[in-house]
Amino acid sequence: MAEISILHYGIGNTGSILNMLRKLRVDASVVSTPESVLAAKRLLLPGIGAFDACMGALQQSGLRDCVPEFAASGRPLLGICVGMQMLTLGSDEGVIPGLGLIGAHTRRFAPSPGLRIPHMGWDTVRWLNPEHPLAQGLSGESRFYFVHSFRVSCEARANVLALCDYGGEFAAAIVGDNVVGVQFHPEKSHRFGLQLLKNFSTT
Amino acid sequence: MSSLRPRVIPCLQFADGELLKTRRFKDPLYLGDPLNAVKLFNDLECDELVVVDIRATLENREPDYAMIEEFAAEAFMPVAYGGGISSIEQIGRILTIGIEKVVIGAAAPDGKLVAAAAAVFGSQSVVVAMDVRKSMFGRRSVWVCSGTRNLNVDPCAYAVQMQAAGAGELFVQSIDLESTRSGYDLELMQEISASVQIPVIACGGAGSLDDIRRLLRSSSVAAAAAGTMFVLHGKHNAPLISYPLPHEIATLRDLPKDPS
Repeated sequence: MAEISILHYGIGNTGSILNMLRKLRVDASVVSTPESVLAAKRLLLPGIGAFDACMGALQQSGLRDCVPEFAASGRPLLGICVGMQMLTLGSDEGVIPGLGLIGAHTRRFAPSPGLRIPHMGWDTVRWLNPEHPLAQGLSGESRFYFVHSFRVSCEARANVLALCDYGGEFAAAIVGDNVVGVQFHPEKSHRFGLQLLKNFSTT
Repeated sequence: MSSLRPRVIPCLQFADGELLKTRRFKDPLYLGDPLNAVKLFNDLECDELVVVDIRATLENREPDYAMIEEFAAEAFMPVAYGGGISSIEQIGRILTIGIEKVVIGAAAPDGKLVAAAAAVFGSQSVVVAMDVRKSMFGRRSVWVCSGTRNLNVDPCAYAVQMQAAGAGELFVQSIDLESTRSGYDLELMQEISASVQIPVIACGGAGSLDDIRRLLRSSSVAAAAAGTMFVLHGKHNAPLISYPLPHEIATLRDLPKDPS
């Protein structure tokens, strides 16, 4: 049984996530059937590109309803980038509702002179709960690679796990019980990302 | 206003399993094993990497997927691949391997592939390469196919056109300055970065951190790329992989503090 199952629904950078998990010697597999999703020990939801393209592909793959069902089991679920945005109620970028697993919305960056969108590059984050299992070993100076044009805003402060500042603060990581999401790409963030995925593999 | 620290990006040239370095797009020097270079830049925690197969388009052949897959397995930072890309299927295959961005050059001018790739994979995955050469009268023009085909178009006009087509980033390289260590074409980089909103990666001519500093302080480019400076050392051009330290990168754009 794989420690981490990566949900494959047609869009997403499963290749680079698998590469990093291989480096960590974490047993990982790619899953694309309802049975294998529901049987997963830990589920990872990737996502890249446009919100509706990802939600639409998830629906098309017949796996959409498995994700909330998996989350209800209490086992760990991690969304990455658009995968994190998919955990929210919905996005300004699209019309398809999100999974709604965390009380949050995916918003456009407020236009500001000189603020280039996407937010692309390395940035530092501030963990609001450094004791959280996902943040272990990352409370000091840790930097991550971001590339996104929309940002997540939580209804309750308790759901914000980490903040980043780009034209104002936004949620770099969100949490709701066993469900977590990160806006950045741990699989492309050197030892900081390795640490984060290692943390997830042992939660 | 918050702004991101600029990215510093090694740009590696390779072909047929060999790490190479050209000068002004000519005379490729053999430097060793490209995979070893990727591993070393990974160990040095570089911001990002650009790898370019400099012969794929010229020889009209497919990208070397086996080699690209090996790069992806060793690179825990974003990697952009360029060379021989002419179809959506190729792009899909490269991104699935675990590469984040593709660099489109010769297949970019009509905008069709750029637009299609942006629609399918998102513009953050689509980088357009524009190589720029100055004519003997000082007029700049965009070239493709490793500097063998002149598009006869003004670089700023082309940059705007590629942004409109859906490019998420521009990789702008000065052919005349490549591997000369005489500094970037500051005027070109200023003009292009001011004419588009998407991030611009500047390349060609870097010989020192001072050159990168001058570039970042005189223009709004998002990233400074360099080949020679990070893969060769000394006047005899000995192969040596190097990369600045995090605190050096952090202060590249900051202006010196006013003593008053």
